[in-house]
Amino acid sequence: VLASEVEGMVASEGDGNGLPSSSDSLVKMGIATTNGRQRTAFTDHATVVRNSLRELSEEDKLAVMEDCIRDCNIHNLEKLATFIGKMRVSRSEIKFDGFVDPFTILPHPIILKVLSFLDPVSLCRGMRVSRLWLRLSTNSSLWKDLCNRSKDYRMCSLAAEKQQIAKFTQDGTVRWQEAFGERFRLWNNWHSGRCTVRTLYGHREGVACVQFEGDRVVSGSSDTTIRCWNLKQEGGTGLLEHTLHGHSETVRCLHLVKNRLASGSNDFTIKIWDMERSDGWSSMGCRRTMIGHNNHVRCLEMGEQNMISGSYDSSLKLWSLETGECVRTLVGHADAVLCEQYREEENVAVSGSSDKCIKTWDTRTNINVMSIHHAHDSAVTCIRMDDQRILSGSLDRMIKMWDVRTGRLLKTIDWRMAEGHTGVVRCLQADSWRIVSSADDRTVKVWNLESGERLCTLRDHQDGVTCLQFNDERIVSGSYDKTVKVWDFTLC
Amino acid sequence: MNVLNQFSFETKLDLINSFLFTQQVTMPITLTSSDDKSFSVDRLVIKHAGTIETLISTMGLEDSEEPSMPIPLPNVTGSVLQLVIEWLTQHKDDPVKKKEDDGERRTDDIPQWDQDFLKDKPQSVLFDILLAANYLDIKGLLQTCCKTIANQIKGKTPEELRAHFNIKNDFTPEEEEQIKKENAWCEN
Repeated sequence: VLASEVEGMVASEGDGNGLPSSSDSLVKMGIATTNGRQRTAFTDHATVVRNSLRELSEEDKLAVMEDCIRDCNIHNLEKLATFIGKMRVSRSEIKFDGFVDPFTILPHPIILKVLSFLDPVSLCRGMRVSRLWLRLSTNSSLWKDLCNRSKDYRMCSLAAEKQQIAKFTQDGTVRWQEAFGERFRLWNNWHSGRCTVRTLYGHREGVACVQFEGDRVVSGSSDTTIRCWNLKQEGGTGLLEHTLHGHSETVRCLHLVKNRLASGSNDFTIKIWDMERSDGWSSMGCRRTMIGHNNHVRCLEMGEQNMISGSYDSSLKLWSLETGECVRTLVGHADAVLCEQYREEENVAVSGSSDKCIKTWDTRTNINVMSIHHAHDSAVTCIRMDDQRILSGSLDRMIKMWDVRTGRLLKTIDWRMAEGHTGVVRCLQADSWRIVSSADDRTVKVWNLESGERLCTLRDHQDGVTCLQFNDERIVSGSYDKTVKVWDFTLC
Repeated sequence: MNVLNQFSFETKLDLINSFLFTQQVTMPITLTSSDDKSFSVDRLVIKHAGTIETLISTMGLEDSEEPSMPIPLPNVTGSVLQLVIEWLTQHKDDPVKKKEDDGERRTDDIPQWDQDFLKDKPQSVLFDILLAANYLDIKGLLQTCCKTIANQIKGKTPEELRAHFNIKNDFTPEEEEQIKKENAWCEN
C-alpha cells in the first residue's frame, strides 16, 4: 500500500519530466516483485488504491498517507525520506523549468551585452536580485549607453546634455547612473505633466511676452512695463527684482540673451536693455531705442551681431545691434508679421503673418527663399524652425509641421482629433524632441515632436496663455490673467 | 543562354563572373567539433562566422580549390555546432554585419525564424548556442540570443526574476532596502 501511495504521488505529477518513474521508485523502495503474474495483480491493486486516493480531498489524502507512514518500519522511513528529498528537488526544477542564473554561467562581457538590451526599469529591478546582479547591472557602460544611445530620455539639446553630464563628472569620472536617473525623472515628469507651479504676481495688465535664462525671468505686459524676477528668491511677489519703464504702449515681444534684452512694443519702437547686475547700484537700463517700423512691433529675435523684428507694418527689419541702424527691410508679406525666428549662423529667418503665409528669408541678400501660401486657414501666430522642419501655429487652432526645404506639409496636429487647443494657438516652442504650445484656451500643452502625440496638458492660468519659453527643467508662461507662471519639472 | 541575350555585354560579364565566383566559394569546408564530429558546410553558409572567416583567410584557404583540411572548433560540441550550422544555413543570404548596430537597443525585432528556432530549446542549450555564437563571432546569432535572454528578464520584479532564474537572495534586508531607496526613481 505504501508503495502505491508514493507511486500515486509521482503519477499525479506526470511522468517524463526527469522525475523518477513509478517503476523506478518501486525498485528503489525495494518492493519490486519478481514474479510476473504476482506483479500484474499487484499493479492492478495499486491502481485501484491510487485512483481512490485521487478522489479524496487534499486533507483526507494527507491523513491516509500519514497513517500509511506510521505503519512504516525505520528502514522504509529512511528510503521514503530520501525519496521525498528527490521529489522536492525535481519539483522545484520543474517549477523553474530547469532555469539557472545566467549571470553565474555566462562570461561577463556577454552578460553586459544582454543587459544592454534592457530598459532602465528592468535594469534597475535587476539590481535588487542578488549581489552579482547588482555588480553587473550597475556597470557604468550600460548607463552611459542609455544616456547616449536611446531615442528616449533626451534633453533639449546636445549642449544641454553635455552640461548635465559635466554636473555628474568628478575627477574625470562620470556618474552615468545618477545622470541617467535625473534624465529619467525629468522625462517621466514631462510625459505625465508632473510639475510644481509658482505664480509671479505684479503686472497690472495682461502679460504678452516672457523670457528666462537661468533663474532670471523677464516679462512684458500691456501695463507697458518689463518686469525682472529672480526665481532664487522665495515667496510670491517678493520675487520681483526690477521694473523697467520706457515703452509707452504694450510691450509685445522680448528676447533675452545673457545680459542683453531686446523689447518690441505697440509704440512702434524697439529698445535694447543692459541687464548687467551690479552689487551697489543697478546699471540696468535702456541703452538704445530703435525706430523704423511704422506700426506695432510684434516679434523680434537677436543674434550675436544682428536682430530681426517683425511688425504690423507687414515688414521685417534686420538691425545691427552694434550701431542700432536698420540694415535692411524684408518685404513680401501682405499683412501684419506676427512671428519670426532668426538663425543668424545659418543666415536664415522664417516668418508668419496675418496673410496666412509662411516665408523663409536669406538674411544676407533679402531674398525670400520660400513661401508657403495659405499655410493655415487663418493668421499664422507662431513659428519655429530647426534644420529639418518648420512648426507653425495659428488662429485656426492647428499646429502644422513643414519640410524646411520644400515647404511640403509633413504633419498637422488637428485640434479636433488630438485633444489640441480649443482656442487660438498663441505661442509655440520646440527643442530636439518636444513641442510646447500655449493658447487662448488657458492651457499649455506638451507634444512629442516626432509623432505629434500629446504628452500632457497644463492648466493653471485663468485666461489665455500668450507666451512661453522652456528648457529641460521648466516652462515659464505668461497670460492675459496678468501673471507669469513657472512650471518646474525637477521637484517631483 | 537565350535568357542571357537580353542583357548588355557588361551585365553578362558580371553574371558570368558572379557565377564563376559562386562556384569557387561553394567549395565545402569541414568543421570538427570538440567531440570529434565533422560537419561539411557550404563556404557561403559560414560567412557570418567571423572567427572561421578569419581562420580561412589567415590559413590562405580562400582560393583553394581542393577540399581543405578540417577546421577544429575545440570550444563547440557537435550537438551545438549542428544547431549553429542550422542557423547559419537559414541566414546564408543575409548581408554580413561588420559591426554592432549603433541604434536603439530593441528586443522586439527578433526575426520570426530565430524566435521559433530558440523557442523550445532548454535554457542550457540557449546558453551553449550563445557561447558558440560568441566564440565563432556570429553577430546576428549572438544578438538574437542576448535579446532572448533580455526578454526573459524584462518586465519582471526582483522577486519574479529570482523565481524565474532560481536565484538565491544574498542581500541583507538592510542592503536590499538601501538599493531600493537609491533606485526609487525607476519605480514611478
